[in-house]
Order: sequence, then structure tokens, then C-alpha cells
Amino acid sequence: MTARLELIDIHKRFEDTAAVNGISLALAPGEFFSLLGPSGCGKSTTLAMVAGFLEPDGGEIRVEGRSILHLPPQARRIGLVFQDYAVFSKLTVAENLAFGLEVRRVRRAERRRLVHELAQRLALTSILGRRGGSLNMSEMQRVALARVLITNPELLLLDEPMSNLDAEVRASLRGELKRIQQDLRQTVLYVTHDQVEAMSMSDRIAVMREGAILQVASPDEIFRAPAHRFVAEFIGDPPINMLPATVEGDGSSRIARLPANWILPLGPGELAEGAYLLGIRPHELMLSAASGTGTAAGIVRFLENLGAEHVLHVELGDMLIRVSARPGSARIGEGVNLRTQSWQGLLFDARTGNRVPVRALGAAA
Amino acid sequence: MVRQTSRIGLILRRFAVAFAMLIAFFPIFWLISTSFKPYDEWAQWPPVWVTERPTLQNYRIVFAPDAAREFAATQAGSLDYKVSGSAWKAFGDSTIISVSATILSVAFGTLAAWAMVRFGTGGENYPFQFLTVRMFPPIAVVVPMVVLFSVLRMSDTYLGLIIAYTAFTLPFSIWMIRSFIEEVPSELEGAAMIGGMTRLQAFRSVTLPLVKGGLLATALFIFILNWSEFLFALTLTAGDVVTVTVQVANYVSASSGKLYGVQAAMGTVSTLPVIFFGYVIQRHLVRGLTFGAIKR
Repeated sequence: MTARLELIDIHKRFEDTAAVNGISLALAPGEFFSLLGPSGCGKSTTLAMVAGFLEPDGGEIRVEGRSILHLPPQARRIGLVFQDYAVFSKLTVAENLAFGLEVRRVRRAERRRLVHELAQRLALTSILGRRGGSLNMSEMQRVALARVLITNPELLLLDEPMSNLDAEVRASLRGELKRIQQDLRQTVLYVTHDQVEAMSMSDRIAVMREGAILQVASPDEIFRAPAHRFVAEFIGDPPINMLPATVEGDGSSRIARLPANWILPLGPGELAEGAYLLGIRPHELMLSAASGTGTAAGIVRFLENLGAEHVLHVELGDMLIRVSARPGSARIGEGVNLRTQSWQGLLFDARTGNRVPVRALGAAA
Repeated sequence: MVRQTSRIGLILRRFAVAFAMLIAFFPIFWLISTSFKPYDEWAQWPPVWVTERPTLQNYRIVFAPDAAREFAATQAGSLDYKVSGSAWKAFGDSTIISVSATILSVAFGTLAAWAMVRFGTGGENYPFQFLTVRMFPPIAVVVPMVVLFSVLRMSDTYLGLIIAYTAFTLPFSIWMIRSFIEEVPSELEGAAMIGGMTRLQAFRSVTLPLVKGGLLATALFIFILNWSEFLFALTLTAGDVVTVTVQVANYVSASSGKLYGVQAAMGTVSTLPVIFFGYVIQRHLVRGLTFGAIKR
């Protein structure tokens, strides 16, 4: 089943702090939507309000256009998978799956049919007789998922469901979860602090900080055109470089003055002169054989070997800049020249952190 | 050299343990030993460690009024009128009061602890406010309580002592049970609610079975407190209700003073229910006190 979810101007305070400060969202039926942000940003609080475990101080939550605020959790047609899965350890997998059906007094034959159907779909058939306490993390996750899917919820809520898993399990479960979601056309609200999970599975992402949403957009757009410096810094691995920049006029065109006498031409534009933050992702930088205009000289201080590529930490003035480079292209202690390649032109207001539109410059700059 | 010091250390440790055990077990040994001594050996000097003339007379005095009367006439002089009857009533009264108060204390404690852990009822300091009940000595409140109970016509009743015991053990119940409930992830209750249960159903069918061992351990602890309570039992009664502890204190005769042997016999018998209860729930006790191993 699939449904439309709307959150309208939701507020929630815990004593002195505003945990959620006026957020509004609309999820389309069948959409995989992620709330992404650091711990304490209000994403789990938001989820708990949708589930009914917390009551918002103000605002409205609607499913298919009808308010669900007056309903207790058990009357909302939601499936919630907890971070720790909360699989009942003394019940068998089959009993765990049948739990919601039993509470809802579904007939035995029907229960059995649904349990087997879902067990097949989530590859649980071989472990139906095992106790919840004996399962590994990936089995527990599938059991927790099957346990809520079996009652055919209008909405599937997932609260950091992968934060307890090993990296390799996580990678395979991401694909599996996405497949199940598409298979069932299930509306999903996914809460995570892991940008890779959000980017790889979501149709849209809302990036949250301090109880507010900074940007709602597709993974592509979030990465390409972050609305705020925080979004830019949160998304992307290795993380973006944020350099203090002074924009100056040079006739009708503009240049950005960066640390270590690095001058980056911005091209013609209306940009006001003054202090900005300039975001360059590590893969938008390359080592240059030539020095001169548009390049910066620095020293490689540290090197992260990621196998397929190296991330060089290059000292530029008093800053360390991350640069993606082919393995073997530089050694620690070596002097290098940097220049941009296919830079997206991310420029942020130094005071507010909001992105300032600037014409993207080509690799030649 | 190193080996030798460690061997000496080991020997010293064993001596220390033996000494501690001696101190811990001596009163129990003395209690049981005295309970089998004849009248003339109770307070003899030098002490008789283990009597060569063991007798069941002390136990007969406790449980058989005839034996008590004969004892008074032939050896000890007149007994307190309160012990002229059998001690069975004291055991009965203590059982009614201790068991009821334990059940109430654990029941209220469970609900209160659940509310505090899950909903933060009363705020962060609420559990400490309950502890303050235990922060002044009971003797400080016993006089006003005597006045209060007589106004409420509750002195010398079962209900009076049950209420007093429940009130004074509730802080312990709350604190112990709180730690057990904290071990149960709230997500388990949440999952049950997502499955369609109400909050109370989820508590009853998910959390309660998981803290069963802890509840039994708490119940044993509270039962021991109730069973051995003396001050309230003495001051809030006037002879109609007699607990075991009060009965022990009543074994005094006009000519011989305290009847140590009889008191020892009654004391020995009165430890049996506690040992029995402890033995019955032993399996849960270990689990209850080594909680935290819940599989999440």
C-alpha cells in the first residue's frame, strides 16, 4: 500500500530547546524520502511524531489528506523499523512476523499465508523457526522489515536502520531495501545521518540542521547545487574544501582571491564584491604541471590511500586542502601546483552560509 | 621470589575471607546453638558453644501453650501475658502483613518505575524525591504516625501496618525496578504498539515478562525488610496484631528476664520462610541481579 504524507509547520520543543522548528514536507505516494542530518538535528523527533510516539506542539500531519494527529500509534497505519530492530528475541521469526496479525486478530490460515508470502519475498523462509535472539544483524533487519510490512502499512518509517551494521552488509542491504521498496511501491520516510545511504536510495532528500530543513531536493541536485554551505559540507566523500574568498572586481569580470595568493577568475557577472566562502570538491581539483595564473602552490602533507584514488592533503597557506589524485601522482612532502577542473562554482555568503549563484566556469579557468 | 609473595598473599587472602565468614556466620551459629540449649546454659559463663544436653524445650515453648505454662510454673516464673498463646498467630500475622505489603510495594513500584523511565513522569529529580522518604530515620516519624494512625483508627490493624510498610519500602521498589525497566529497550514496546497493541498491552506482554526476574529479586528484598521490621510493628500495634519480631521481644519472664533460648528458637524458625522464598526464586535471583544481558 502506498500513501501521501504531509507535514505542515511542525514544531516540537523539549524544555528549553526547539527540537523541531517549523518543518513542512510532502511525500508523494511511493516516494523514497530521506531526512538527513547530524545527530540532534530533529530528524528522529520528526519521525517519532509521524509514528505517534511524540505529539507535536504545533502543526499538522496528514496521510492521504486526513489528519492523523489524534490517533495513537497502534491506530495509525504505519510500519516503523527501529534502529535496534526491536525483534522479539524470545519469539521465533515466524512468531515475530505474525505478531501484528495476531494482535489484529487475523485468522490463523490467513496469518500463515501472509507469513510465508513475506518470508519468501525477504528470504526468511529458511530461518522461520529460529528465535529472534539468535539472528545476526542482517537477518534481524529483514525480520523487522517483514514484521511491519506484513500488516500492509500506508507508510514505512525507517529510523537509522543500518547504523549497527558492518560496511559490507550495509552496501548489500541498501540495494535490497531499495528493491523491496520499489517492488511494493511503498512510501518510505527514511531517517539517517549517513549521506551515502540517503544519496544512494532516495528519490528526494531533506537535509536538516538544528530542527530546520535547509534543502529538499533530489540527490543529484543536493550534490550539484547545495543551498547552504552546511549541505555542501555534509554531502560528499571526501568532503568539500571550504576556502575563505575575497571577490574583487576586475572590469566587468570578477576574481576570487583565495589563501596562498591563489587567484581564481570567476568570469563576467553581477556578483557583489566582498567576503565569501568558496566550495571546491576534491575531484574538482587537479595537480598541474605548470604554475602561474589560476594555480596555487602547496605542499603535500598527508595522503589517504583509498585504493582507486589518493586523497592528498595539500597545505595551502595555513589551510589543508583535499585533492583527489591518481595513485602515485604525488608523495608526502612534495611541492605541487593545484588548479581547478570542471569546478561547479559553489560560492556561499560568508555570513549567512546561503549559496550565491555564480556562473559555472569551465575546466580551462 | 615473586611466586612466594603471591603465595603469602594468597594465604593472607584466605585468612581474611575465613575471618569475614566467621564474623558473618557466628550470629547464625549462636542463634541455632542457643535454641537447643537447656534453660541453665543460655547465659552461662564461660559460654557453652555447643550443648551436650540438646533439648527441644525452647521450640515447644514457642509453639505449645501447655509447654510454656509448665515452663513458667517450674523454671522461669510468670511469663508476659502476650506469649501465653502460641507463636503460630505471630507467624500468621507477619505472613499476612509482609506478603500483602510486598505485593503492593512491588506493584506500585513497577507502575511508578515504568512511568518514570518511559515518560519521565515527575521530572528528572522525581526518583530522588522518593528516596528522601528514606533519608530520615523511621523513629523520627513514628510518633506522629502513632497519633495519625489512632485518629484514623488504623493502629493495631493489619491494614495499618500494610500501608506503613508499603509506604516505607516503595522507594526501594521504585529504585530497583527502575534499573530493570531501563534495561528493556523502549523500542520493544514501540514495536509492539506498531504491531497494534495499546501502550498498556505492550507493557504487560513485552516488558513485564522481561523484568520478571528483577521483580522477584525486588520482592524478596522487600519481603525481608517487611518480615524483619520491628519499630512500626511495635509502636503501631497494641496486642491484637503481633508480628514475629514483636513476639520474639515478648519472651521475657518476671524472674529470669530475657528468655534467650526461647528467643533463639523463635528466631531460628522465623528465618525459614526467607530462606524458603529465596530458594524458590533462586533461578530468577541470579538473572535478576545480573540483568543487562538482554538481547537487543
